[in-house]
Amino acid sequence: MKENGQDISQALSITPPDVTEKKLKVRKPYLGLFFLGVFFFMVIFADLISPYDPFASDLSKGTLPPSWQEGGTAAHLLGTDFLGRDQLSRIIHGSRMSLVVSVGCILIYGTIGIILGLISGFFGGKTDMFIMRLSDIWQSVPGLIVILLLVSVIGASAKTVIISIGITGWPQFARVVRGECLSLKERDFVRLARVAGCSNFQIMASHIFPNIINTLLVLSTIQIAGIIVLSATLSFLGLGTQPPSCDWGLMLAEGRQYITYAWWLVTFPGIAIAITVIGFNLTGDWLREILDPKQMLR
Amino acid sequence: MASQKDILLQVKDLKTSFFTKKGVIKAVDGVSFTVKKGEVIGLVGESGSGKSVTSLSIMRLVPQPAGKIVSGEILFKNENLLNKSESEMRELRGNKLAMILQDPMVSLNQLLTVGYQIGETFKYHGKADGSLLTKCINILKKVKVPSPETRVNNFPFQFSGGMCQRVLIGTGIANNPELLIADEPTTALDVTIQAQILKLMKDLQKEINASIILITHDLATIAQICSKVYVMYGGRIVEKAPVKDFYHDPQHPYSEGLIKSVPVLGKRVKRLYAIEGQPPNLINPPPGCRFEPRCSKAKKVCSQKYPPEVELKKDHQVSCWLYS
Amino acid sequence: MSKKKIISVENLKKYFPITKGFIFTNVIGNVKAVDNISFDILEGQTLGLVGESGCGKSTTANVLLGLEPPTSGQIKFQGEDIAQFSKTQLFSFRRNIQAVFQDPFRSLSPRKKVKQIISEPMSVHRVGLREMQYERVMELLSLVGLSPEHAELYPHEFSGGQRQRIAIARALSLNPKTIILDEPLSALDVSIQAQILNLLIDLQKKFNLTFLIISHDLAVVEHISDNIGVMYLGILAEIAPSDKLYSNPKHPYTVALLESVPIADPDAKVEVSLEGEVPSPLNPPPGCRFHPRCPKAKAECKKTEPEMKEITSGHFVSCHLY
Ligand SMILES: Nc1ncnc2c1ncn2[C@@H]1O[C@H](COP(=O)(O)OP(=O)(O)OP(=O)(O)O)[C@@H](O)[C@H]1O
Ligand SMILES: Nc1ncnc2c1ncn2[C@@H]1O[C@H](COP(=O)(O)OP(=O)(O)O)[C@@H](O)[C@H]1O
Ligand code: SF4
Ligand code: SF4
Ligand SMILES: [Mg+2]
Ligand SMILES: [Mg+2]
Repeated sequence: MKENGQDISQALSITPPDVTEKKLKVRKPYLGLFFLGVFFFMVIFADLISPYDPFASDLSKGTLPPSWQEGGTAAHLLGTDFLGRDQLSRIIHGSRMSLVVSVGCILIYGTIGIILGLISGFFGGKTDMFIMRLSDIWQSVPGLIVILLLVSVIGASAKTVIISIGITGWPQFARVVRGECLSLKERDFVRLARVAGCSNFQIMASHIFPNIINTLLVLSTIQIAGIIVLSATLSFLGLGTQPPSCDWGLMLAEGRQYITYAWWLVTFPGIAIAITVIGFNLTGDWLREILDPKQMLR
Repeated sequence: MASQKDILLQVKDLKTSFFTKKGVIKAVDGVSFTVKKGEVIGLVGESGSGKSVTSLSIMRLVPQPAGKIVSGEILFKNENLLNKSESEMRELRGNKLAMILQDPMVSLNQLLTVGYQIGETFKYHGKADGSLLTKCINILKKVKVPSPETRVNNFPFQFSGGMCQRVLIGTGIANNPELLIADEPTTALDVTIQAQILKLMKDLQKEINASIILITHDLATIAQICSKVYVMYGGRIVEKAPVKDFYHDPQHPYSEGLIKSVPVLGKRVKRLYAIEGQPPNLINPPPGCRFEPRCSKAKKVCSQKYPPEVELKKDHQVSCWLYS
Repeated sequence: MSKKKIISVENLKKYFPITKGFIFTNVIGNVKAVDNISFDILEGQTLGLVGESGCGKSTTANVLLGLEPPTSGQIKFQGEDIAQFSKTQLFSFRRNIQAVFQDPFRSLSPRKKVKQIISEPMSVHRVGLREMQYERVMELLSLVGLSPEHAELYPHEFSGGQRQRIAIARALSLNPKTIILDEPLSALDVSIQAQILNLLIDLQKKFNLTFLIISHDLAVVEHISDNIGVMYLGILAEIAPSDKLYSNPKHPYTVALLESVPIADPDAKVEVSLEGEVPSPLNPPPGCRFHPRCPKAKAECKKTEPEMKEITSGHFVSCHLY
């Protein structure tokens, strides 16, 4: 009975449900929240805080280095790009594009995933099998192919990115929702809801869905990080947002050609992406810990 | 008084708390008792009264990091377990000190064969010799698992709840422990299986002459095999009595209420006696008697000071202001 | 007896098919969870169902509650076969049978307030306006011994006994005629069990409720029931008025079950009268299902299944000894 300690505490933790012992050792969320704060500050106040119009180009001031480097001016803190557009302003405005794209994707694949997941978990049987096989097949098709296909059909744009990521990403959501739904539907309160006469839809909407919101919140937060990287990648490859929009991935792509003598053109958008992604990831991890970790552990 | 030699375990003023966000939960708050060699003790009380935490404290397995033994002494064969190192404790657990838990399905690893899990207890305590398999089979025979030779290679999920509990008892007694703590060993089982398991425990106890602490909230189980009863309420022991006194002449108002509130088969009453009110909150307990809010005999002093333990007669102690 | 039958169950069967195969599934066997049982419950009375785990008690309850369709057999409510009901009739009929389940920690939606939990059945059945529903919630709370402030709290803020009270209040909200109680006390402390048991008995008297109570605790069942049915592996072994069942059990299984109940008295020692465990309901033994464990089994028992016989008025046994 050597590793009994663990077993016993497991067995015991089932006994006292009123105890919040788990909340003791949660990591502090400050760094993640700070990064997200910076990000959302940029999103909300972009028009107020950016020193220039992000699209205004002044060729006479092309490729200025950041202000602290030789040749830079205090007027352009992070320098300018080859068209003389202010980098700082473009990065600030670029945050909006990241948000629009990632939230758009989450909305699309979240909706598909939640609906299919709920149906699959709730009705079970053949329906479940069909949806799960479909999601297997879906996941085995490389996302890039879908994206290329869409680009070739409707052209490259932010919309294409949203739609293509949106329709490729749902299987993961569906699986998580289905799993939660499977365990929830056997719970006594769901059986009692049936006894009370609730319809399937009422049960899903008012007894099952509210209990998976936490999970969805955590999942979405972490997925947003992934989407930001993916959409940056697509833009970088020229499959996503098109010039002259402000998009961090696009900025990276444009700066790449000048990387040997204008390092700031790739460095700062890169840092912006990294900070945002880290911010979402840390916050997601933290949410996972504070919102009912037992449910997430499964 | 029993001579010092007869005493196997002596717990003195044990306090174990859980430090949580909501406050300090005083799960065990000043518990003292002794267990003699070969004696079967019953620890009764409602859920949350601190029975399991008492036993986990004895095993030094209080859930970390929230739980902590705050003060007290646990003398096992006159050595204080609280001063032992973790490796010394590990040597004792499963060897001289063994434990059986409520839910056999949770306590056994579903991915290892039953034989492996019994064998582990031998190996771990350096008693593995060539005939490990024979030993495991012997254990299964001892706990009356049918056809042990084939069953030894089965996985726990191929066993029923009762059989799993037999296996757990087997691992518990494998090394002939001197003290066996059984935490609600029959609660998850059917009455017919309960009767079988209780009988098994009684027989094995006679055979290996271990002391047993049987934890349960079921008064009937206690009556079947225990010789003494310790009643816990709100983290304290409120009454210690020989089993017959406890059933026929309980002294503490809580014990009395408890016995009266259980329906007895074949003795139908019009209306059951019910202890009104809710179990106590162990965060910031009031200074007085924990049972005071629910007690029909409460006096003024009850809510002010905790009653001292008084000895009414030999082996029968009560903590209640009615007696002091 | 002048009392009316409120629920009659006739030859009820519930099999759970075991399937094999992926898309083209075929049934390779049946778990015979409930295999041909019949009983009646009279208005205002309590029928208790006892038996070992897995013998089909909860399945019976689930079928009565409409949570599972029966494989065959009839359920009559006040003399009418519910299989003949139309969809809307069925929906309004369901109001009459409500339920309370074992684990009060699991039977309340964790994210709803007590008032929402209690009023949900009323909203679903569109009973009254919002204000009337709220008043009814208040009335129900006081009926089950809780106070009005409790309406605004969430289930996790209550102890087990209080949660079970909330579950009972909810079950009462539609003024049902019948409540099915599946192990309503098992998850509660001894001192709280008595409170809830008394509450149930009081409510039954007050509203002339009919109960079907399932419990593994024979003493509890005996305390509250007028009639008790003993189930074994999906069948009813014996059903009788509770005093008769206790004082004069006929079926060898009932006898064994009663003998194994531990008694809270150190002078009365329990004998183990039943060795072995319940066989799998997947292929129950032929003949009488109890014969492998039965101390009185005869040759006949292995071959033919005994039929239910009424040996004295209201006392039914299915055993070849009678
Ligand atoms: N959905 C299901 N699918 C397959 N088998 C089932 C299903 N539900 C119940 N069973 C089986 O039916 C039998 C009777 O189950 P039931 O839940 O009615 O038992 P019970 O008498 O209520 O037992 P307990 O005392 O453990 O609650 C069991 O063998 C069980 O495994
Ligand atoms: N891991 C834990 N963290 C915090 N509190 C705990 C923990 N385990 C038990 N407790 C608290 O300690 C008290 C006593 O619990 P326990 O000993 O398990 O009671 P029981 O008498 O039912 O065995 C309860 O209030 C319980 O909530
Ligand atoms: S000390 Fe007072 S309140 Fe406590 S049990 Fe005794 S009489 Fe009741
Ligand atoms: S029919 Fe036969 S085997 Fe079955 S209970 Fe009666 S005597 Fe026992
Ligand atoms: Mg416990
Ligand atoms: Mg059941």
